[in-house]
Amino acid sequence: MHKGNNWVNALFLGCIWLFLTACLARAAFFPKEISSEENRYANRLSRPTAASLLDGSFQDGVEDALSDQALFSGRARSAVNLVSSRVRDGLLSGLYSSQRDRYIRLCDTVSIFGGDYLVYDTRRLEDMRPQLDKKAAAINSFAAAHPQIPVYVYYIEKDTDINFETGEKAGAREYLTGALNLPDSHKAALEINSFEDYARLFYRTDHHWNYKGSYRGYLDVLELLGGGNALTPAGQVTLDKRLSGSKAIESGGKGVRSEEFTAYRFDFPPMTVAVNGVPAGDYGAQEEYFAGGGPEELTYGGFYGADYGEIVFDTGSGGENLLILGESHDNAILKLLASGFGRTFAVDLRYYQAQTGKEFDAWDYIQSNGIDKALLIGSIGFYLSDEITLD
Amino acid sequence: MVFSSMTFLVFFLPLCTGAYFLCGNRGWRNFVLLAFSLLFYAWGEPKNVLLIIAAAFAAYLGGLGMCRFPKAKKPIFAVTVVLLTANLAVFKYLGFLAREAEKLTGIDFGLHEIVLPIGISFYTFQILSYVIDLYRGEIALQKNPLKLLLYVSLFPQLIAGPIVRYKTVEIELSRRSESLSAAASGWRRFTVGLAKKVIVANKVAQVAEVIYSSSSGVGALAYWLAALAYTMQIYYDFSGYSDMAIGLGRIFGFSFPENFDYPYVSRSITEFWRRWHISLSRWFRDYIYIPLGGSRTTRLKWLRNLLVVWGLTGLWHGADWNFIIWGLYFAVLLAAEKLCGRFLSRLPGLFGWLYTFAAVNVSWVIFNITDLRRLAKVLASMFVYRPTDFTALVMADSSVANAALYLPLALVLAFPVVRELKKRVRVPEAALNLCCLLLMALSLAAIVSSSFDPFIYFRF
Repeated sequence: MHKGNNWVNALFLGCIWLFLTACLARAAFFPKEISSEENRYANRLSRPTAASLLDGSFQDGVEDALSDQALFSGRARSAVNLVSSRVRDGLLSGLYSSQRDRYIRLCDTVSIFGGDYLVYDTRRLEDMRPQLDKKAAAINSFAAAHPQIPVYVYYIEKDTDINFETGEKAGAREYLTGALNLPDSHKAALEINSFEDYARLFYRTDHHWNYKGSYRGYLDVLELLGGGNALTPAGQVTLDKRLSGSKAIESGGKGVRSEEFTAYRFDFPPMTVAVNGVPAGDYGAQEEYFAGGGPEELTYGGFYGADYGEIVFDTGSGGENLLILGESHDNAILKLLASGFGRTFAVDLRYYQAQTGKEFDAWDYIQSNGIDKALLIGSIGFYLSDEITLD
Repeated sequence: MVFSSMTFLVFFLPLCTGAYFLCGNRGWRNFVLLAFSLLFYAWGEPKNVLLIIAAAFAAYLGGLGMCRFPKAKKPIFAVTVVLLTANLAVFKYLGFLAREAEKLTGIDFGLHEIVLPIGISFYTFQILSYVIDLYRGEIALQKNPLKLLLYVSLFPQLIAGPIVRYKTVEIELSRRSESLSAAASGWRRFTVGLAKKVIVANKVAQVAEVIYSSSSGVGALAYWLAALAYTMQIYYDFSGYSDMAIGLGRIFGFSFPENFDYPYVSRSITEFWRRWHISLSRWFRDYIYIPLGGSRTTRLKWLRNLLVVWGLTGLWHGADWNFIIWGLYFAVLLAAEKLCGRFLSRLPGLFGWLYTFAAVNVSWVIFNITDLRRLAKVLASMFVYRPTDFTALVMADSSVANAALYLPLALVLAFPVVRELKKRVRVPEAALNLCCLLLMALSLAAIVSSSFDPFIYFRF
């Protein structure tokens, strides 16, 4: 063997060994917390137990952790997804446009419909009934336990509530609202009855409602809560940055599948904001974005405001106090709603306990904050979630 | 644990190679290899590691008995073989037999829950090779039980072969030499195998999956495409695994036998089985076919031998009727080739290749589909033309479009293009290493991206 080759081989083997060992060291000693490419916490190595070793869950956890923690794993995933999404879109662009009225599946959960809308599958009522029954019972007992305050329910229909190919609706909204012991005037919904409705009110690449959808929702909710002066848009701005939303990420097309991001501009009245009990300058970054700034990566939550356990808006007007129990869809209308109330308490039960350190006690919360009205608002995920309990 | 997992690549391999090469003497190196081999097996099968140790110990005692008590050699040999075979039979076939008996009698034998220990078919055949060769006097007794256990559990070939016979590594267990050039060449081979598995096999697999999982609109052309995709998948999957095993063996100073030799260039089924899973074909040839009389016997006995060997080959691959049918299918083809040998040899080479390739494609369909009704339907659909709605197929899962792009690549590389290129062009080792690093990076990217698992409800 040539001596030079020995050096070449030593270098080659050394590089590989060092790289693999560095990946292991990173996972063991310097793990990252967030997998930013996937919008989730990164898996980390955990301590083994006899039970977890025997049932294999520890081993599965190690595989997940090493996949997330290996050096450059995030970039590798992004690169692979970028290339395969571009190749697929290149190959199938003709199909996307010729089959606009058919679902074209991109991954287990996301399909393309209407040429360039990323949509979820329609849910089946049979599968949802038990959860909807549970949630309806919980809302009924919540309302019965607090007769002093009116309770309102707003249901946001979206792609999961209708099959765009057949026009057939899942019927979850009708089923849920029909099971609620609330006056009809306390129940309302954003109805989606066709793909055209959906395309007008929702993003192409994200699972949230767009500026038109959220404003329509705001007007509906305001009317539901008894009317009041609605804020009207002072203008409409399309940002320079593009949105590559949650469904783009989910289908592996982050950055490849993106859309223009337009929002209404409002002149909000002055209000203070506290997030999980800590005063915050503002909620969301609307003004920053309008001024050409804002975080580099544009997201729905980054623009309108993220999900928090508790956000309290105080306009100091001395008006009524509103409790909003909801999820991320309400982020876009929280400041709008808060503009018409004295204090607005937005509670996201998925995060409340973890972020405030307190259990959510509805009775105590309503009493101590002088709540005058309670609004439950969300899409089907909100009404099916086990995390969102009202007990 | 599998070689194409992050656990193996990032956790197991650096620690194992690091500890191995830190040890100075052979004894410690063997100990490290044994410890890591048992850890490798226990990682996926914590309880079944005891089974592999017990099987190796039974072979050790059997071997010891045969040498200590020459007069009782035959019964000890028979008992040992029966014990080892029974171990395989219980874990692999008892559930199947119980299921079939249940269908006939309606009695629930409660044996549905027997979990097949990973690699049991491979390691049982390896242990049997030790016991049989020792009985035949072809190898010396292994007095050190740990060395025998190391042979049985040696992680590179433990769960998917090649089936390394004891006599192949008998000397290397005690005396072998590791070198930088062997380690580098071993790593290159490992990387090629890894890329075959995670880049090619996993991709073309999607084509077959999408077509087989479609409920309607699938016609003859699509089923042939699925058969082709699965044909490529199983080759790149299995030969990739063998490449990885051979490469890892080389890193630790072992020379494992080749297991594949471009099987899809074959011009007859006989040739195909000389090129496909070579270590298994040779095992059956040497330990079953020839002892039964092989082909040097009457035509009837030869036919019997063929049916026995291929029935067993089918069963070895899995405990289900489709595997038995698959084995017998090859028995029929091999018998036909033998009987019509002269006729076949006069036909143009291209015809031989086409016939072989088509027959092998059909064989993998039989191998792949365990539900006999579904199998019959798919086979019928392959031979009775019905148009395919390819648009609907792509719309049902558009990832199939990307995956299909890998099929031409898989087809081309199934021929000895690279080998011929290497013969003609001398590539410096540095360039080979560089290509290997690139291939490794691509493979790692493919592995980590396969765990892409976004969560949309995360603090936007």
